[in-house]
Amino acid sequence: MNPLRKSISAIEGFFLQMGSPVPLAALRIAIGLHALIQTLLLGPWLLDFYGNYGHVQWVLVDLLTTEGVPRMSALAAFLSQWGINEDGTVYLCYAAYIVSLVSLIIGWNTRVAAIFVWLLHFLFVKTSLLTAYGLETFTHVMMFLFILFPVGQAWSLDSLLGGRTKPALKKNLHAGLSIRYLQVLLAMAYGTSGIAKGLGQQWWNGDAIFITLIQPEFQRYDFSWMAQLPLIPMMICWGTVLLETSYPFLIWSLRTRWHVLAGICSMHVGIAIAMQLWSFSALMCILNLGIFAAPVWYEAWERRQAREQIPTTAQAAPSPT
Amino acid sequence: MNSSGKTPSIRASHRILLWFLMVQLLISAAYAFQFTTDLGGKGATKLFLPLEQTPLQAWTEYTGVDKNYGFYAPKVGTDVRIRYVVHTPDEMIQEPFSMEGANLEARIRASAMVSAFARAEEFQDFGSMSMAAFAFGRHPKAKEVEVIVEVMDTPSIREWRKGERMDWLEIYRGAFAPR
Repeated sequence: MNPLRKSISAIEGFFLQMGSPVPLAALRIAIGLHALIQTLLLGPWLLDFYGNYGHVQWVLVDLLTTEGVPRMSALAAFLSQWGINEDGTVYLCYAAYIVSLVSLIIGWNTRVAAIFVWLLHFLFVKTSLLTAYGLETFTHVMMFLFILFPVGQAWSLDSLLGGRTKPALKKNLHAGLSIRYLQVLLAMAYGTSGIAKGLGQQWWNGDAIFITLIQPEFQRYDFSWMAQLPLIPMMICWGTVLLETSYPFLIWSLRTRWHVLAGICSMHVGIAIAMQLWSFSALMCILNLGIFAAPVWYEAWERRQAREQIPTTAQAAPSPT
Repeated sequence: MNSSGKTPSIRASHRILLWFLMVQLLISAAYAFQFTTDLGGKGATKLFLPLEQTPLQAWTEYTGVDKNYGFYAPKVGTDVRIRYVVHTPDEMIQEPFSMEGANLEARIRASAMVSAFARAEEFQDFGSMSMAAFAFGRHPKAKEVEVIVEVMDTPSIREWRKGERMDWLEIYRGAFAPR
């Protein structure tokens, strides 16, 4: 076998594995709910963030937006022919986004809902691109992948109404490929995040943690005492860099996966408490658990179910009438 | 092999999706592996690939493969605040840009926006103009609005131990009048 063929075969062997669609369904529901809560929380300040006369006006947004990317101003201009004004356009998109999210969560016309969710989320992110933070990065990536992946195969109205509940739960290559891709993507995200931190002085001398924790914006507790014990912020910094850079190597083996997941989720809980980034931390925990833990948990649950069914069948067998 | 021992049949659609995802993953890696370092010197050095302004840019934005995951790297940010000084015919009003009364999620987003002022100098004029327009909307009688951007000058651990403390540092001031 020539090297190219060998490489192709290795890639296909790694990515094209049988997988259950259930973890994907769990991700769809969890991320959909997360996005829905976010959206509802921003509702009262909708026009401040996304309106033409909000903090950042559309004319500026248009200047900063890449050509070919959806713009609220263009949509408003298009809808104006039906008498819908600029604020009306924002409210209409907001309502459509909520309806699409609900449809995605319950798995009704899942793929169509995913397309609308992805486009509308993108439109809102681009309209308020200055207010977007890490949360939007991951949400947007996931929304696009939800269109390609079989996220509606299980735990959805589509599967219930289609009368294919049981076959839908079966393992298949499409679901396996989807989970594998998400695993590689998340591993790359943490790995590069760790390298990027490791290239900064502040992450070696402890300043990154110290400076973050004493900022008035994040200051819920007084962390200035850390200056007298610099080893503590230094160890937290080193631990973060080590945890993130080792993630792409240690996450694959089941022997180390649980330790890595525990470490990463603890880090995100720490971020939530210290910096009040609850929403971002929740999303990262959902991604970690949904992508790396849920497939293992579901398989273990399936095995247990199968074990429990065997004695039942055996008991039932010798009782023909 | 699947659980029943049979080799799963790989359809053409699986292969098409797989290789599409591989291309996406490669582009994604090209963006993710762009770093900035301040190790070994005073200034920051960009280790970037020339990916901006390519014809593929819109596609990468649509699909989310243009993301860089270097959060809080190579250095963490500090607090930024924006103040307005609104000049009306009768008085001068000083007010901070704030989202008092808003929930945490709205305040985080407002804070992200304010931080953008400090990060990108080229954006400060446009951004301030936009913020000033927002202030004119709140104060229709205003003749002039000054937008002041300040960052929190935060000492390092070593500087803190020497007695230095945090202080606001003005990095931008722009005055705007209605047309």
